[in-house]
Amino acid sequence: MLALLALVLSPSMVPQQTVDEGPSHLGAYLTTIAGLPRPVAAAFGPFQGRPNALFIATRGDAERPPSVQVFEPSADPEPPAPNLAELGADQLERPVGLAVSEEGDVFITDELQRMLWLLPAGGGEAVPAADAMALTLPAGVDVTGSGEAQLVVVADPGAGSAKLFRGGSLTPDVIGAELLVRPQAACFIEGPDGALQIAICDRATHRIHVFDLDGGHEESFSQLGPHPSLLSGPSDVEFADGKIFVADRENHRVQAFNTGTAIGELAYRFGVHAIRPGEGAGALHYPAALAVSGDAQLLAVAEPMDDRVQLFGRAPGAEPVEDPLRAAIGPPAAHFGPSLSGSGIYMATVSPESHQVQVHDLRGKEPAKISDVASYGTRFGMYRTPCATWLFNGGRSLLAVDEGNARLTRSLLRVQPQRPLNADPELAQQLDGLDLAAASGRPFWPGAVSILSPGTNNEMILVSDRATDSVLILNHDLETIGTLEGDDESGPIRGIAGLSPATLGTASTILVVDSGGEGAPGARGGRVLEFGPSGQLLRTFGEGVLVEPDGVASRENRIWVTDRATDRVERFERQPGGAVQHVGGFGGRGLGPGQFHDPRGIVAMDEGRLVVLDHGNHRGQIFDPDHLTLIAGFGGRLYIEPLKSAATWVPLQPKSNQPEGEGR
Amino acid sequence: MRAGVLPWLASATLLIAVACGPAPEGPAAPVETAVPFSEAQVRRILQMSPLPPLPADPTNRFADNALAARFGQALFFDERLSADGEVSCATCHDPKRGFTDGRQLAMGQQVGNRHTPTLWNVAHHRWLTWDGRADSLWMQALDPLEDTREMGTTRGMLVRVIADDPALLADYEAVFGPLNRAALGGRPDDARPARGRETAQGPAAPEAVQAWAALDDAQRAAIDEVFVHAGKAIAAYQRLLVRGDAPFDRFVEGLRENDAEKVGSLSPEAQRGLALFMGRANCVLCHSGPNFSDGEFHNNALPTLHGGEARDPGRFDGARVVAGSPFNAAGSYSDDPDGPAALRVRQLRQSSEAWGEFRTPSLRNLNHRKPFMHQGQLEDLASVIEFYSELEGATGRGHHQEQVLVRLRLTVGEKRDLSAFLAALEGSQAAPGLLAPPSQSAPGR
Amino acid sequence: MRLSIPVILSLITLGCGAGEQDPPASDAGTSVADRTDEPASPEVRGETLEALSSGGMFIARITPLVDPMPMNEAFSVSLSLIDPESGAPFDAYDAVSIDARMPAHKHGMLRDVGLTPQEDGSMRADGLLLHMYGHWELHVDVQKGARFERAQVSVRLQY
Repeated sequence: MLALLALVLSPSMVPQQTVDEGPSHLGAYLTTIAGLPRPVAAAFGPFQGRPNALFIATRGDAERPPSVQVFEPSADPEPPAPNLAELGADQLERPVGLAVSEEGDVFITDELQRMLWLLPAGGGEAVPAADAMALTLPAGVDVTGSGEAQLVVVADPGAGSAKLFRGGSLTPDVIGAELLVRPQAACFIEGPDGALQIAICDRATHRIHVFDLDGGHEESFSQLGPHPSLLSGPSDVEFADGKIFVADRENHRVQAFNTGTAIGELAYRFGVHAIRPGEGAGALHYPAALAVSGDAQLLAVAEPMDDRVQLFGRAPGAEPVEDPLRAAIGPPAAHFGPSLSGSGIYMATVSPESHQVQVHDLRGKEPAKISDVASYGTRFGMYRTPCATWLFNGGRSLLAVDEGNARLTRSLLRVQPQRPLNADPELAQQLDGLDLAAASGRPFWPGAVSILSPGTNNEMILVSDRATDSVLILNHDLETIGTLEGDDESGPIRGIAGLSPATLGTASTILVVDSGGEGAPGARGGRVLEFGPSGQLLRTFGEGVLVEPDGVASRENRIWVTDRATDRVERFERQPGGAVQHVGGFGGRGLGPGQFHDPRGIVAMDEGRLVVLDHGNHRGQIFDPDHLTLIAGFGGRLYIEPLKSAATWVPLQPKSNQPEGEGR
Repeated sequence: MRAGVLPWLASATLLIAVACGPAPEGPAAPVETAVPFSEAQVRRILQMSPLPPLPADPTNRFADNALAARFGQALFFDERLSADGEVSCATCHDPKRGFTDGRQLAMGQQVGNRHTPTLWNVAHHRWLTWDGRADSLWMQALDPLEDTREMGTTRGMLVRVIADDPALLADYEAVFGPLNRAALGGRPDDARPARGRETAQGPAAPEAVQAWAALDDAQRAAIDEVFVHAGKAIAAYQRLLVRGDAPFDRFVEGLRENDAEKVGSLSPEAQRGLALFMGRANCVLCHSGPNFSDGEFHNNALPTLHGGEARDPGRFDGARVVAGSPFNAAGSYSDDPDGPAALRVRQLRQSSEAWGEFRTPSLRNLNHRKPFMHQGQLEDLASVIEFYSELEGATGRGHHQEQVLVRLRLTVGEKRDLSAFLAALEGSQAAPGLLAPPSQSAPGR
Repeated sequence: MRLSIPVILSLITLGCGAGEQDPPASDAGTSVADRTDEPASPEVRGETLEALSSGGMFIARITPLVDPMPMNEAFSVSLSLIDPESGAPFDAYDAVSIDARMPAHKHGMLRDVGLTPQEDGSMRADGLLLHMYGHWELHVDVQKGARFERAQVSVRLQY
C-alpha cells in the first residue's frame, strides 16, 4: 500500500533511484497480547510455514507451567493474535532467554537448570545445546546463521561473561570475561564492514558493550541515568534496521542506538511510563525483553510484571513525537525494589530506577525517607547496583551487597530515634567492605545479606551467591569462615533467594530460601532450608506449599515467607522440638488490602509489625502479625488508594531505653 | 524532605561563628550601612569584591601580548571568517548587547541549540561555553569557526583570509613570525578535519574533509599552527574584556575604608538584596566569589524551550569533548602541557551525574544579556528570580544528581531587593576601543 | 565480648581564615585569581587532619599544603598512613585513594585525584577542589587483599 502511494507521489522518478519514503521508526503501538503467565522473553521466527511467528517464553504462575507459546502476530486487536502452539511445557523450569534460528529451531535458556535447550523446528523434545558445565547461570540468547556457520551467543551473568557456541558445538568460547559484570542479554549486530559483532547489555553496570567474534572489545557506550541515551538496568538487546534496540527496563522505555560510525549515538526512544495500575496501550511498565521481526516491521515488548506482550509497528518520522503533557509530568517517583530490611523503627529499601539504598523512619503516619545512603560509582563507598540490605542494631548498622561492584559494604547510620523526625543527608558513614569476588576467588553474584548474633563472638555475616547457589559466611573481620549449601541428602539449592536469622530455643539458626526446590523434572516447588550455627542442615520445610518463594522473615517462633507465583505470604510456626509447621497464609493477586502482586522482601520489625514489599504493586504493606490486619501502606499513590479504606494506623513509639548515637 | 539543606547550613553557620572566635577581620570600627551587617556578614562581603587581576594563562604564551590582542580583535570582527561571509564572532557576541545577541538561541549560519553567553570577564572562567567543552579561551575560539551552525568556515580558509589580506598578514607575522608558505601553498582553500560523526574519508565525507584527508602531515601541521595562533590571538583580545568597578564594588571599598559615601553606592534595597543573596536565598552557593560564579556546572532542572523533556546533555558531553580534544591544556598546542590547567583536564571526572548541567553564569554585567539560561528560556531577570522562587516547571534532574535547590518563596519585596542588588553589579563603561574592530592608529588596548 | 566501636576523630577545619588581615585588593576573594592552581611551596602547611580508620587498620593524616583550605581553588595535600599501634608508617596495603564528598548536596568532588609517593614515605595529591561552601567529607580508602577500609575527616568550608 505504501509502495503504491510512493509510486503515485513521485512521478518524476529518476531511473535507478530507489523510492524514498522518508525516515520511519519503530514504536507506534498496535496491540497487546494479554493474559500470559509472566512472559520473560520473545523472538520472531518461522513456524509451520509462517515466516514471522512470535515466540514467547513464559515463566508460568501457580496454575500454569512455564513454556514457550507461539502466536501469529497481528496488528488487529480484535481478534487478538491467535495462539498456534505451546512448546516445552514439561521440560522447562525457569526459562529466561529465547531465540529462534532462520530454520525455526528454538533456543531457550533456563536459569534453574542452568541449561541451554534446543527445541528442533520439526518438533520433538528439547535437547541440550550446551555441555553441562558450559553455563554458570544463563540469561539472554541469540542465534544467527545455520549449519556449520550457525552461531549462538548466551549472556551468562553467573559467570560474568558471554558464551559463543559455533556450528552446533556444545563447548563455547568465552567472551568479555574482564569487562562484563552481569550481562543480561546479547545479540548479533552488523559491524562497520559488514562483519558480525556481538552487542551485550550489562544490567549491573548499565552499559552496552560490543565485541567481535574473537572476543576482541570494540566499543562500549552509555551509563546509568534517566536522561536520553542513558540506561538503567538494561535487560535486552536486539539488532534491527541498523540499530541496537535496548529494553531500558528501569527507565520504562525502549531506546534505539545507531551503529556504524555513529555507534552509541541515540537514534530515538519510545515508551511513556505507565502510571496507573495495569496501564498499557503503548505505555511501558517494566519492559524486560524485546523482539523485532525479520522485516523490521514489528517490535514486541515483553512485560512479565503485567503478564503481557505489547506489539509496536512503524510510523513515519525519524523519531516518535513527544506528548508534551506526558513530558511535563517529569520522571516518575522512585519505586521500591524487591529488597527490604528493618531494625528498630527504621527500614531500608533499594530504589530500582536510581539504584540507591534508602533509609526510612517508621514512627509517623507513613514511612518517611530520611536518607539516601551513598552515591553511584565503582569506588569503595559507592554503590552501582545494590541488590539487598540488612539493617540491624536498632537501625544504627547497615550491610549492603552490590551486584554491580560485587561488594559487601558496612555502614554506620547516625539514627536518632529519640529526636524529632528529620531528613538527614549525612546519616550514613561508609566504614569498610569486602570485594566478594576477590574473597571467594570466583565471579560472585550477591543476592541477599544477613547477620547472625551481631556484636558477639559468634557474629556471622551471611551473603548469598546466586552464581553457585550457596551462602558465604564471614566473621566480624570479614574473613571467610564457611559456606552453606544444600547437601547430598537434601539436594542442591536451586535459585537461592532470601536469607534471615531465626531462633531455635536459645540458639540462632539461618533460614535460606530455595526458590527452585529439589528439581524433579516438571515439578515446581520451592522450600526453605534451616541451618544451625555451625552450618549443619537441620531441616527443610515448605515443600508442597511454596511454589516460588522469595523473602523470609522470622520473629520468635514465627516464620513468614513470600511467594511470587501465588502472590501470597505463608506463615509457619516453630513446634516444640524444633520442627516447623505451616499454619496458614494470606494474600492472592490484587490491589486490595492484604492482596499482592509479586511480593518479595519481608521483615518482622522489632516491635512486631510485619512489612511486606509488594513489589509488583509498587508499594509496601504493614500488617499486625497477630491478626494479619493491614495497618498502613506506602508507595505509589495510585497503588495506595485501594488500601486506604482498610488502614487503621498505629503510630510507633521508639523504645525509651534505646541508647542513641553510638555505633557498633 | 528537602528541608535538609538550608536549616542545616544555618546551624553550621552558628557553629563556626562561635568557634571562630574574635578573628580580626573587616573594619575595626564598622561604618554604618543602611542594612546592619554583622561582622561575619561583612567578612563574607569582603570576599565578593573586587574582581581580582586576570588569572595567568600559561597555556597561551601570547595571552598578554598587546599586538596579539590587536590581531585577535581584528579577527573577532572579521566576517570573512564564515561560510557566507556575513558572520563574525561579533555577530553573536555583539559588543552593543553585552557581547550577546538578545536571542534565545544563537544564530550564525543556522540557528544553534544554545543561548550566546556574554564575554564580559570571560577570562575569569575556568571552563568555557555552557558545557565547558574548552579549558582555555584560545581553545574555545577554534570550534565555532568550523561549527557548521556557527561560522561554518574551515581552518584552511582562515589561513587563506590571513594570507591574502596584507594588513592582517602583517599583524599576524609581527606576532607569530612568517607564515610557512612552502607548506601552505598549492592546495584547496577549504580544508578541515571531520567533526563529530562525519565520515573522515571517501566520497561520503564532506568536501572540506576530503581536502583535509588529501593533505600531507607538513601541510596539516602548518595550517593547525596558524589556526591555534588565531585562537590565541582572539583569546588575548577577549582577556581585555573586563568590566568591574560596579556600585557594589564601591560599596565594598567603602566597608574596607570606612567611607560612608562609598558605602552609599549601594541603595538600601540593594543592601537588603545582598543580605538575601548570601543569606536565606543562598545564591552565593553557586554564584560564589568576586566573579559571582563558581565556574563549575549545575543542573537547575530548568524548563526547556520546547516544553518537552530536557535533551541537552550539557556538561556530560562537554567533559567528554574537552578531555578528548587535541587542543586542551594538556595537548601539544598548549604552551604549558604539564602545568596546573593540564592537570585539571586530565583529572576531570566523567560521570553521567553531569548530564544536563551547565556552567554557572557570572552575575556581573547583566544588562543587555536577556534572555537568560542556556536556551534563553527565561525572558528576563524577573523571570529568573521567579523561577528560583517557585521552581515552577522544574524538570529533568535525575535521582543521583546534585540536590541544592529549594523553593525560596520570595515575597514581592524580596524579589525587588534581589533585582536591585543584581543591578548594582553592573560594571563601569569599557574602553570604546575594544568594542569595535581595532582602528589603524590605536592598538587594541 | 569484643565490641569494636569505630572511633572517628573529626576535626573541623574552618575556612573563615580568608581575609585575616586587611587584605590588599588582590587577596580579597577566596577564589583569588592570581593564586592559580599551582601547588604551594613545601613550607606552607595547614593544620593536619587525622582520623583512625573504621576497623583500626590505620591512621590517616592529611596535611593541606595551603593555609587555609581554599574554596573552589585547586590545592594539594600530603597524606601519611600510620600504624595505630606502633606509630610507624603503615604500608601493608595494596591500594589507597583519596576522595571528597558533600553529602548534603549529594555530590562528590569534580576531580579524580591520584596519589604520588614522596621521598619521605608520604604521598601527595594535587588538584583537590572543594567547589562549594559547606560540609565536605574527605575519604581515605585503603584496600588490603579483598578488604576495604576507610578513614574519614570532616572539613567545613565556611562562607
